[in-house]
Amino acid sequence: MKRPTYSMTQVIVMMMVLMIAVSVTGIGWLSIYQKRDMLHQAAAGSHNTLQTHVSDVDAQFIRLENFMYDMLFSNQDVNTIVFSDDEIAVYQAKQSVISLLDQMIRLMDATECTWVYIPKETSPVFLSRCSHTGIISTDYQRVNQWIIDRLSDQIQKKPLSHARWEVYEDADETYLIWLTQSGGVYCGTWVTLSRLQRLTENAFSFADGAVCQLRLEAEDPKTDGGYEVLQDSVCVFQRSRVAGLMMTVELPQQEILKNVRQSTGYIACVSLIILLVIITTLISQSLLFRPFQTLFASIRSASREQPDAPIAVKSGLQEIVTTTRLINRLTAEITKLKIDIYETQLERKEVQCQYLQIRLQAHFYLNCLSIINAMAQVNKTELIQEMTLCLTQYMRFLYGASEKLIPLEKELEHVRNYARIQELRFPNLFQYHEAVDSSLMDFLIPPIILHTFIENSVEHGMLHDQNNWVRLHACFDMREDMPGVLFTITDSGNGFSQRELERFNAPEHHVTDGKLEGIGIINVLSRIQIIYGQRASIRFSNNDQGGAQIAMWLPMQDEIEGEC
Amino acid sequence: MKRKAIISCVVAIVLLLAGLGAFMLCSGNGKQPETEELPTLEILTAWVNAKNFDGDKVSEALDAYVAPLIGAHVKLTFIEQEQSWLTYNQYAVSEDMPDAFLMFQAGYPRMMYEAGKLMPLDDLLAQYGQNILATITDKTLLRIHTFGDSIYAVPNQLDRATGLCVEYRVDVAERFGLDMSGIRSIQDLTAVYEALRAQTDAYIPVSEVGYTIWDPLSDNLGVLMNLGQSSRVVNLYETDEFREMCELVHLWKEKGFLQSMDSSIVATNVFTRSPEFFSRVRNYNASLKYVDSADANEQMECILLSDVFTHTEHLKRASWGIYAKCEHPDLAMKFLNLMYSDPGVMNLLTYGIEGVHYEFVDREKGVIGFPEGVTLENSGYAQFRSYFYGNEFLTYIWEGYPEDLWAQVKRVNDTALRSIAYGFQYDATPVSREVRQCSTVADRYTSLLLNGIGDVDTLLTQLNTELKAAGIDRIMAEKQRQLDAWLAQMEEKE
Repeated sequence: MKRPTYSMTQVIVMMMVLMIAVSVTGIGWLSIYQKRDMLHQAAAGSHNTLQTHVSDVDAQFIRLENFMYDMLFSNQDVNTIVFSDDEIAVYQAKQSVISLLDQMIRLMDATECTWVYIPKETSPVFLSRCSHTGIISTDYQRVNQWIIDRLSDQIQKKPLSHARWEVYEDADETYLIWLTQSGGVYCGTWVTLSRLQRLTENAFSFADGAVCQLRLEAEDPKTDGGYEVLQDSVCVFQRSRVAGLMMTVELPQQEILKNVRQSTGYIACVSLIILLVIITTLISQSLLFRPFQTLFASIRSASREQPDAPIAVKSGLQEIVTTTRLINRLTAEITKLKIDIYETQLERKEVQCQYLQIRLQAHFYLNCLSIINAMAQVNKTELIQEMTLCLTQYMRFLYGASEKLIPLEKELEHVRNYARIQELRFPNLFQYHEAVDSSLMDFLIPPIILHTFIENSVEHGMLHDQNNWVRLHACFDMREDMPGVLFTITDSGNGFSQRELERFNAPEHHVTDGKLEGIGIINVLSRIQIIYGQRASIRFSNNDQGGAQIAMWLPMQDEIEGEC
Repeated sequence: MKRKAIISCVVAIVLLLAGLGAFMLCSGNGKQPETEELPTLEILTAWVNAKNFDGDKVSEALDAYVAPLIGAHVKLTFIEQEQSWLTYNQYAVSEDMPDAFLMFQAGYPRMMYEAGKLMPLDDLLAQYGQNILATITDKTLLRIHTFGDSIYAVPNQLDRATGLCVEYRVDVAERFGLDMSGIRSIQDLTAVYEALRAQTDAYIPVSEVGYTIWDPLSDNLGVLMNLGQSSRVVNLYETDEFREMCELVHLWKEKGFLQSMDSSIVATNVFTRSPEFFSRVRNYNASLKYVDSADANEQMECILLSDVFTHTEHLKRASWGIYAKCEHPDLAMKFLNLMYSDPGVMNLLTYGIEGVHYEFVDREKGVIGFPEGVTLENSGYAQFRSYFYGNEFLTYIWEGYPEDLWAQVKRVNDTALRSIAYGFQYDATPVSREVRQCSTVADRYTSLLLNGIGDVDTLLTQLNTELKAAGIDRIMAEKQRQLDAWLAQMEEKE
């Protein structure tokens, strides 16, 4: 299973989408929740308003009823109208009753007409007063005539019920009628439903477009009132207990929520913030992310096509500039290192070649052979024997030598062989002295190093007119808590020239210096450097007598597997 | 390209932040008053047609128009004309009053003055009411609501002449072939009503009978007969004119021409609103038939049955006063001043908002009518009450009015007879007890007489006997004395 990877673009886009989705959902949910909450609150408030209004109307109805009873049972003027034949007395009684009726409609706006009907045989009297609510005289007279007709009928059929509110409908209006009677006198009141509707709508004057509906309720209604939240309106309803009417008011939602417009401001704020976040993201995208992306792209293409070429990213962003510079420097360094390693390898090869070359110096053998020849001419058989033996051992050592470290004893043997050969070559002119502690014989040392130094002294320091000597001294020496052996080679020759000292003591040696002069020493120095690095030290100088002096300190290194 | 995009992004952000800041700033400061809150004047007037009433809209429009002119907001309060007495009773005993208010019955200014609710206006008129003074050039008219030495209400500038007239529905007259051209006197109407009744029962011939062809000298207790041309104070209830009126009412009542008062809508505009009434007998005024035609949305005609004349009481019909404790009487007076000089204010109050409640039929001649789709039935401001407000001569001519209506009215105003007591202010205090008793008696009997109840002769005899007992002679003597003194004073001035 491969673990899926994402690019920064994908992550950013994903985050943005997620953020927007969460915000939009959150705001939407909040706003819907808030709206619903407010709607319910507003609806409950509206229902309260309706309840107050309906109970007010009910109270008015009850007052009207009481007023009517009062007029029927304790008003002398009614009796006067019933029993008197005096025109003036009757007129004045009528005026008095009319003013009562007038008072009622003026004091109570939930009624439009109040009336008294006295069906006198000679001339029935119908007294009524109507409020100025837009009822035209024709309608007014028609309703009253209807009532008179029904009341006249009632003597036989009793079609109108008493003491309760009833609805009467005609062509274009519905009336709520209440009446009662006592002793042949009827009185009552009526109001058009449209008037009640208007009154109810006025109670909701804070909300434009409130629509009121009234309908007659069943005898035993399930509920007296409440509210309902509909699609885009709120419906509140309350039953008038007195009239048995269910008053329903439908209020448009936006009217109810008129006063809670702040919520949109809040939503606008949040939306603005989201917009800002999105824009900020876009800007950071173009300011931050895109340069990085370009950087990565150029790094990628660079590593694929031109590993060593410096990358070029134009950006005002400091981090990008620094990173580009750093990467370019690192690339340059890596390239240089690669070259160095390559060169070092080349050098090693060359040192090895030189080493081989040194080991196979032909002229030394030729010299030795010519000496053996000279010895044979003078029949010095013993010397020849010794010379050939030494030469044989010498050659065997050289040919058998590898790059592995060898015990000091072996090297010293070889050096002694060489010195014997030289003593045989130059009788009485050369002496080799050796002062090495026997405990150091197991000390591991790269082969043909001491030999090279001794040979150098012989080759370059031998004077033909005096007794020459070379001294080798080795002793144990601790340097910086590291055990090691200090070798000192001193000769009686002319010593190193100033140029040679400078060259050999220089910290770096290159086989590619091109000069054959001192090539043996340089090769030794190179090999020691390869094997010991900086841990070994070799110092070239001239001693007091003018001879050369080489001091070489090698660390004790059992673990190092010499390769040279 | 990239840089541009970044710059535009940054600019957008800055703008957004600025916008957000401004939004917050605005919503934070929204509730605070702008700079200096202007005071609000409450102006009381009345409505006559409550259907779809747009009073609030008109009030807002008026405020928008007036506020920069007078430096105050105005808020109109409309009361129902029919119930106005309730409102004024309330005002008489309470301190909850509008700053400036219309009084559209002759008795209201005195009632308000006696209740201490009116502010003396002389200084205010001199200072802020220049246009009122310039409009009401007649000093008698200007001082018509003078109590003590101060003016307490300014009368509206409207038709001033009255008389006896019969107003009828032209359509009905034509339909039933009623000849209205031959009518010369009120008695001639009987034949017309008989002709109508002979053909149909669907119409009630007369809705109301009520007229004044004498100078009532404020209370009808001692009057000047003959259109106020006689200088002798007489008892109205002993005159032939009054007896004639009573007899006619009785006759019509007997014949069933009158609306039964038993079961009726008692309202000022019941005649225009109820198409079953054929006519009414009432006091004349020059613009009556036009306003009523507009109100009823059918043609009304008016036959004048007497000469036109004007008397003091008639001038008091409509006036404006300022509440005694008004906090900004100067601003209230500035508003009244506008009503007498600014057609914009007058037309808003009379006809509502242009384009909503009316639009021009002929802009040059100032003729207006309903906008398309608006009718008398659905208009929110079909009031047509130019005479409720300061100077009705500044208002437009409603479609159907004669184009020179206001010129006609002014001509009638100027040529009408004047009662010789024109401008006479009667002071009833020396005989107040008699006035109270006589009023009670007169009210009781006139109610019967003018509703056709009982026997005219008997009732008139009883009435006059009781009036004498209540002291009407003393009242008439006092009136005569005051009038003579006033007439002498006038003569001296001349």
